[in-house]
Amino acid sequence: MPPLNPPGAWVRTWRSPEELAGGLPDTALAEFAEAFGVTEASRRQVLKIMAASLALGAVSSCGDASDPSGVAVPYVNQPEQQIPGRPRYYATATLLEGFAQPVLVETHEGRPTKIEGNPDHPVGRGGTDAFIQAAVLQLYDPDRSQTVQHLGRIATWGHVEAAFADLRRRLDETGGAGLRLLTGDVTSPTLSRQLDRLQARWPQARWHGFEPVGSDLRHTALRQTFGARLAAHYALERAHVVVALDEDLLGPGPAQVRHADGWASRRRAALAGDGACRLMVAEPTPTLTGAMAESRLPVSAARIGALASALAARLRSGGAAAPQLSLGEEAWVAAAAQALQENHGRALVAVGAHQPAEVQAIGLHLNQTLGNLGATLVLTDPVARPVAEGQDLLALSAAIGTGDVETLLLLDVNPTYTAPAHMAFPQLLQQVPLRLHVGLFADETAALCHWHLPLSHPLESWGDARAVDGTVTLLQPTVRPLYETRSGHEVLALLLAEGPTDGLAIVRDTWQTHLDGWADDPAAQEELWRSFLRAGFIPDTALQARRPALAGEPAAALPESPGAEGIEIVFRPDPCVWDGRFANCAWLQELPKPLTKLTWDTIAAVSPSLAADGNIRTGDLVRVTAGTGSLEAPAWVLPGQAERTVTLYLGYGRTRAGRVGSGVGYDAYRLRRWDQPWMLRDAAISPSGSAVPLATTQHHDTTAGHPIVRTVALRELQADAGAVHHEAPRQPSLYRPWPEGDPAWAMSIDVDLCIGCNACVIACQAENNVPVVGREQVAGGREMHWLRIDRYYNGPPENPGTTFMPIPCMHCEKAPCEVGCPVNATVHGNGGLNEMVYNRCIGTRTCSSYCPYKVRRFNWFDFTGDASPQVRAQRNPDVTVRARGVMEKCTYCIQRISAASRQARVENRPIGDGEVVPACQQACPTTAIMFGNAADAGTRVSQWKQSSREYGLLEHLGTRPRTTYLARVTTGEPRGES
Amino acid sequence: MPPADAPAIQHPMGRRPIVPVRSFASINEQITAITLHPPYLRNWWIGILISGALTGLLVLSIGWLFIRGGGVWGINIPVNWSLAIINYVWWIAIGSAGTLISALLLVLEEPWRNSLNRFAEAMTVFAVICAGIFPIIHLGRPFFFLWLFPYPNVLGVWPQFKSPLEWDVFAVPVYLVVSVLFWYLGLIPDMASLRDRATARWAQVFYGLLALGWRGSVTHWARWRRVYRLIAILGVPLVISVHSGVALLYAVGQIPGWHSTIFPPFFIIGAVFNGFAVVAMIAVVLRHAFGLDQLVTLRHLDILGMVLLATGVAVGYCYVMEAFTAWYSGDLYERQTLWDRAVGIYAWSYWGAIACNVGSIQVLWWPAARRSPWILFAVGAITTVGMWLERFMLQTTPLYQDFLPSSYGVYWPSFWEYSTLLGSIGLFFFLFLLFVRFLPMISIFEVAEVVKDERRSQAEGGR
Repeated sequence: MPPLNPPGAWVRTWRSPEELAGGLPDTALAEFAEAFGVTEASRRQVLKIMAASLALGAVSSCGDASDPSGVAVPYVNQPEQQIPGRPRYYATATLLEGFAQPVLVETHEGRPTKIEGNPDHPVGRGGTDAFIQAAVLQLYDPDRSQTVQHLGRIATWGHVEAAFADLRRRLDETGGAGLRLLTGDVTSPTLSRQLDRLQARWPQARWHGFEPVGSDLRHTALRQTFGARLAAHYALERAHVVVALDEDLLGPGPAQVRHADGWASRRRAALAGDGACRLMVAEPTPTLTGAMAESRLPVSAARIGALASALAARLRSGGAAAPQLSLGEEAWVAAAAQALQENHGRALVAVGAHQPAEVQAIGLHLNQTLGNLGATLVLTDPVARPVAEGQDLLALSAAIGTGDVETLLLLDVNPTYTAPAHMAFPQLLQQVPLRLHVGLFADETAALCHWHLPLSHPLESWGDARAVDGTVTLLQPTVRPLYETRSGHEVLALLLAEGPTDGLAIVRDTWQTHLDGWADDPAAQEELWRSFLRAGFIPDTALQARRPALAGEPAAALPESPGAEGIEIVFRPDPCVWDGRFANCAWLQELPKPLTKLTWDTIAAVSPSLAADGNIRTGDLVRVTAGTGSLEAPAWVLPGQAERTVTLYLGYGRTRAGRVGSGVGYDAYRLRRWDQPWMLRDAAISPSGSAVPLATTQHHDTTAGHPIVRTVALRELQADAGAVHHEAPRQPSLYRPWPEGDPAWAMSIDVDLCIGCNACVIACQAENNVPVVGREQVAGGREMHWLRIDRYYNGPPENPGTTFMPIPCMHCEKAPCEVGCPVNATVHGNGGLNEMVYNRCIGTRTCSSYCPYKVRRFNWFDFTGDASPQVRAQRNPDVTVRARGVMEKCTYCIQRISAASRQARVENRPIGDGEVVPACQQACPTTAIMFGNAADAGTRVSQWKQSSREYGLLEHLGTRPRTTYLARVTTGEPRGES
Repeated sequence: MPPADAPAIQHPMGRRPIVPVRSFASINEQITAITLHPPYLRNWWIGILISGALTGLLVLSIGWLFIRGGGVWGINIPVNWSLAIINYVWWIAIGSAGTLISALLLVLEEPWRNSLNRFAEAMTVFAVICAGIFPIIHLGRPFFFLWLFPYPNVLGVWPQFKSPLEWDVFAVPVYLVVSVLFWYLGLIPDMASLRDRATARWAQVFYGLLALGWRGSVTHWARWRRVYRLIAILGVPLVISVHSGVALLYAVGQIPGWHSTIFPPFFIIGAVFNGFAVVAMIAVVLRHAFGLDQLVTLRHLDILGMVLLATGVAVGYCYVMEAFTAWYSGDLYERQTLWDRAVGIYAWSYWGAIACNVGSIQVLWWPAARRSPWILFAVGAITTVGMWLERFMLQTTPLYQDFLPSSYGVYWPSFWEYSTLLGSIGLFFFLFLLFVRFLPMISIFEVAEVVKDERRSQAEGGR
């Protein structure tokens, strides 16, 4: 801790705004650079520095005044419910764009190690996405901000309190004039209450909301169409036909889990003969939704409006006159219109939130005409606190420009990086006399602020937030804050200095009025509150559906579609780092992106024909120019990309993300425009003549004609249940057959339901202590993921079919790997598992050479030994951390099998179905993975394996894989077959 | 004494003499002089320094590997076997010829072996030593290599005897032990010769100890001959077992391009081919360097050339059959591997192997070429490179694209792999230079035996 300055000395620095009008003194910035200028450090060096930072963390938590005991004493009496070696689970939530993602957090002796979905929560029913799974690593990120900083120097919360007191005095005098708050989307009732309170106390203060991705245009469309602030929810579980116009329903985002769950239940029902599940997609750039679609039309983003109008014209929904369509568009629209028409009230037209509000409005009208409102498209009051006119970032910029902003509090936002570059927000920001940044990281914005206050991670703080359906979800800490951090609620409470400043009390205060209404005496209220905490959410708080009347006609004319000549740019959040907020998460950086299988980098996606025209190959650096801006990015020839559309991904090119994320990729915000956030026209793209190596995990796009991905038409499936897919009768074997008994652990993976979302990959990584190896190693083919998702294209590259295929270990009954090992390090275990004995392995790698599926991973270097203490804290104590020179692979989460079997033995009963759930199955938002005992005909996995769609991968080799697949089902007309 | 290229005299086998007839003493003198009064000592020192430096590179490469881990090589998933295994197979193949020349031809009583067997055996021992390094440094955790051996241990775990690697664990050390024994046994009478002719004290002691008290009594000779023959008979099947074991290392895996029953004979033939190529090279060099053309005659080179040609043609047959089988199987994956070999990114290794191993030997159909030392040397060098390329091709092309296209990947050896290969070649030369300096590189008494036979047959022919 630095010596405390006399209060006056440092208070004066911000009380004299004119001194600072020119921005932070260079020296302060230099100090920041010194403290955080770690982008030069190698990623391996990160790990070394981590050790030092933990020491700091330990010091800070020792001195935490909120700890009632103050000293650490080993257990004398074992705490109630705390059984060493037995994990405890807490229901809480992680946040994405302010929306609660309900989770259960597994903790071992006070360390959160793994995140699961909350199966009781109405959203997602236990499914997760990659961001949720990775939140636990973010908690332990050694680059997280650990102390208060003032002008680049370490300060204390005492300093903050003093500064706030002074600020409060000034604001009380002026009624809050000059105070502005900037946050992301706010769904938290507590935060909303605090903002209201702040507004009430200082009426002149203003709150601004800014989400770099968000869905501002969706809100505008809803307001224009219905004349009210609303939120739209897709009920995919009820939608027999979905026509998605540039809407990535199944793609990453706050609603991914909910949509995936809904779509999967509809898909299952449809295969069981209950109605249909048809997905028709028109989109400029390939998405997971497009990959799952029965018909997909690649079309420029600017043509989506024309398609919507054409649909509206065919379905007599009003609006603009039917536009001129190409033959392909015409056919697609005709098919979509027919499908929509035939499914009145159970169809859905979903227009992407990236599309102009007028186009989205056409979609809303179409749903109204088709009777889908209230059925598949549910409207509610807004879930997030609405950002009214004058509350957006543009208004804030204007206010700064006119000198109306004296104090700016930035709560968990990073506009220096995420604001469109033409707004020159960093320069504007430096005109604000007093700037305070509250965030998890001392990021780009923190570097330009006088104060940086470290924020607690959601997993270590009290809070509340609404899930995407509005259900109030409670956040409770799963660990004491690792560093001297406060939650956003606590910071606001500190600023307001009213009521409690402790997180729990603040949140509880919000709900006290409700609790008063729900129960009478305090004991009952406490019991109720505890039940909410146990469940992780407050039941029946989902927002009620509303049936508002139409308030207007769709626009009569849409903006002109571009000519064939111009190139358009569309922006998309990155599937792995979103808007850049996850850039410092090594798991997510190393996660292969669903379609490109690219890691540690970002690309500009170009279509095959554009690439051919411009002589561009994957990996070539291209200069993308739009208006006055331009940037250089590696090109990626992306099959299925609309012909003249270039996709740029947000979230990379960070300069102060931390040691993992800084300096990776290009920054697409440099080209983005406030008025055209998602689409730019008349862009140009030209090869710059050089190329860069890209680290991908899959180099071949097709199955090369082998029957790896199999499909069956729904018609065939329904006509003849025995139609698919066993190759030849099983060959005889000299060796004893498995299963020899009960249980026979086995897995079945439904390729038809796999949307390629990657949740399982990160879940596996978190559960099994799978190390991160870095870009160079991935480029060298040394990624360590035990579970990979193969992506295969079939058909023409202009518009191919796309299939995802998760590949864990096959646990072959006749395992080729076991024959090869000279030291018995990979052997067949009880239950038919192909087991890996790490401490016996001498690393001949014969097992991997012999493995036809290449699912084995080798520790080429010591990938684990030099990990920081924080990152070590994440590790699952039930799973061995592997040493250098040792082979590893998927174990079917043997530690979970073992835990269940111990429990069953204690209770003298067999292991029940569903008692062992491997991490991948648990994470899957569509339940595409099923695990269980195949020796018992009653288990779900046995039922899956009875399916006529079942097939084994490379079955002809006689490996008898325990992991089998269910063939993909094609609905509608088959697309390009391989 | 007739010149080496004198017209053929009548011989029971219809041959010219293998070694020109001369006095036993002159043979003894010439060979022991190389050891006791070494010529070209300056060149020898240059050679030993260069090869010593390369051996240092080997130590450095292995040291770096042990410090940093297997990742310093270019291997990955799917190609997780590196040059280490390729070099191992290559070296062990080179090591086959010594045993074959010495043991098989001893048993078959082919007298022409007697000028070649000593340095061929030395080559075998050194090549097996070079080969033996690689399986150990190939391991992810080399310090646990002893787990490969079945010894009573507290872990209570035995090796896994179904693994072809385990078969190698038995085959290679046994082969090494038998090769060393055979070599040393053959050296004993010559050690006695050196001991008796040495003037320096250290040499008398050194060779005296190695001679094990050999006095050349008839009893000694009788016992010695019995043991020598016995070990020779043991050695021949070991050549088969070692190279079958090496082949099965690949063939047991279900990888297309590996999973083939042709592999064991294919590897044995390749090994003999490669081994003879290196013997031919060494013979040419030694003959030239030490003026041994009266001991290693053009007749020897002619025979070596013929063996090279015969085994090379057999190797060519294996290439054809391998390709034919892949095509004829109808298996898509096998055919794809064949295709990858022919036109994939490693096609240079496939066509290089064919050009070197099948193409270059065609020149040996001409007797003049076989009897031209430097053409034979060139063919030997080309085929040695070719066999390395063949090992590379056989190991890498099936692995880099096996079954699932999603796991295809490429492999390029890293600097440290090449430096290890170069270092192992350095080690080989280092050991070989020590051998030519301190031990008789040609078997004195066995050449004398040949000369005795030649004398007798001349006498018979002249009668």
